[in-house]
Amino acid sequence: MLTLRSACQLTTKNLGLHKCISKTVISALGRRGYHSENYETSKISGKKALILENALEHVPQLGFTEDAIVQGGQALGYSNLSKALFPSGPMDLISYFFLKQRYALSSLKPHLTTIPETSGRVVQLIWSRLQGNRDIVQHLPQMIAICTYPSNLRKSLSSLAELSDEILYLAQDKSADFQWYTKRAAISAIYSASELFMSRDTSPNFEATYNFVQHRIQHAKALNDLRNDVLEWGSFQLNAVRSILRSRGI
Amino acid sequence: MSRLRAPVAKFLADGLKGIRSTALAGSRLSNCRYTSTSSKDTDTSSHMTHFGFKDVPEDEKEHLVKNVFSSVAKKYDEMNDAMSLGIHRLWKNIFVSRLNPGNSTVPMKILDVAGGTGDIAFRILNHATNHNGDRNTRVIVADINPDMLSVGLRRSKKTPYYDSGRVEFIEQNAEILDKIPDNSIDMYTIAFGIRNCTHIPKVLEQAYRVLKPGGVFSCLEFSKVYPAPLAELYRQYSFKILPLLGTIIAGDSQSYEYLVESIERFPDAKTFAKMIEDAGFTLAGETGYETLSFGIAAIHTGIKL
Repeated sequence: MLTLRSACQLTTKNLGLHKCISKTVISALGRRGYHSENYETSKISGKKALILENALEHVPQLGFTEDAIVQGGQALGYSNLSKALFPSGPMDLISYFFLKQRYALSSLKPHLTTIPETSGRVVQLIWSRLQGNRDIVQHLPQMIAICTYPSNLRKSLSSLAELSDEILYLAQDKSADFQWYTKRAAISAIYSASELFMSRDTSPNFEATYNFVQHRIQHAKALNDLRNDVLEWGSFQLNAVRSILRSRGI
Repeated sequence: MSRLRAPVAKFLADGLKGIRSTALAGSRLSNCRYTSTSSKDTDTSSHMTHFGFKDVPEDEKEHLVKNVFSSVAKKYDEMNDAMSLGIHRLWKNIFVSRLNPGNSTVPMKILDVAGGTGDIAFRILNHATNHNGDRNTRVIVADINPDMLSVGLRRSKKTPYYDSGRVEFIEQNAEILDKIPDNSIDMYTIAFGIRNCTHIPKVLEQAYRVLKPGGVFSCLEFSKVYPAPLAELYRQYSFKILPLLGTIIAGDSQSYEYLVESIERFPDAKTFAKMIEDAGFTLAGETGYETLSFGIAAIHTGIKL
């Protein structure tokens, strides 16, 4: 519970989001049953994906805009692509970007086997995902703003949940109890905070962002240890009380 | 007592008029049935299709639908207003604004199929002109029914688009469209018309043929109401009240019975989206459709890529 509360505080403190959104994050996470090794069949496929793929080439210059999508269409010969194809416009492009970056994390598997600690693997995965933002870092504020539109919130939170799910899966986290939910919530919060931090990071090669991620993971780990200590203490106290009562013949 | 007697008498007179019209309509349908029997005798390879809840030979449906719309052409708008309490106007407004016609650097060529009275065409031109400042986009209105077309043509003479030649009316079967060349249309719209066509897949085929790459197909049609209790309420309204309104307002209950039955027979939104996809279109958004008013109507959109 401490970790859960702490995760909410992290979210509220670092992202400036209202607490009800924190609750939404957690309920969105809770809605998922399990992580499947087989990726869901993508809702974006065929020529639609091609257009978005081409549009992403223009994002470094144009940002996540309708113009980028139109440019993506023109590259394939559609001189005047209709807005009807992508009703959500920029959010469709952002969703595709998230999907692509999440799939790319799989390539990290060989490297992860060389890291003994789960928390170390999580740091590398989050850092690798943030590296994917390198080329579009000047558009991160715009991207985050679009993700927080009420009409886009459900989609963006769903993407965030899927990302934390993916990270824990690739990190080979073995949790099978309630901890699973708290860890996913914590990773979602840490990733969001790190991404926001990255949007203002001017250090060479985003070193400050890397340090930020490491610090946050260590902090979350410490909280988790504290949680375990408290539970252990509680358990001990309960046993002590039971012993006392039994010694009185009750 | 004399004062009470007057409205009763008036109501009875209207009722009689309705009955007379119904008799005439019935007579027309009887003639059609006789013809279909004859046709069936001479052509043993005839296939059956549905006309509302009735099964009729495929080659007869077109003729029967023509009669329905000839019968209602002049009262079409009044009846639509009565049936939907004016909501159909909102649906059509949403339909056109979603498409955002005229939002383009080059003039668009738009085809409105089964839009004989011009409802959609005039909205499209209004939107292009007033909302997007486009004064060059043109609309071709195609309809199989000359009576509906003549209503539309008459109405167009009261708009600025008639003189500037931005609207054109042609008699065309949606399953053939032989006057429209391949890859020539930027936007294809069809509102409350596709369920009346005998072969919906053929209509979709032709839509695909005439559209340019990147062109938009968009269809406004009745769909399935949800959730279930509301669906049942709507069904009761459809089958009990609408034909009665048809009798009172347009003097023709059989035509409106057909319209209600054809709505019931039309596939649901998901199934129809699949048909659009099978015709080669890429569905817009995630599902390819957007429901309106609890699913009474739905907008289906596909793009030819």
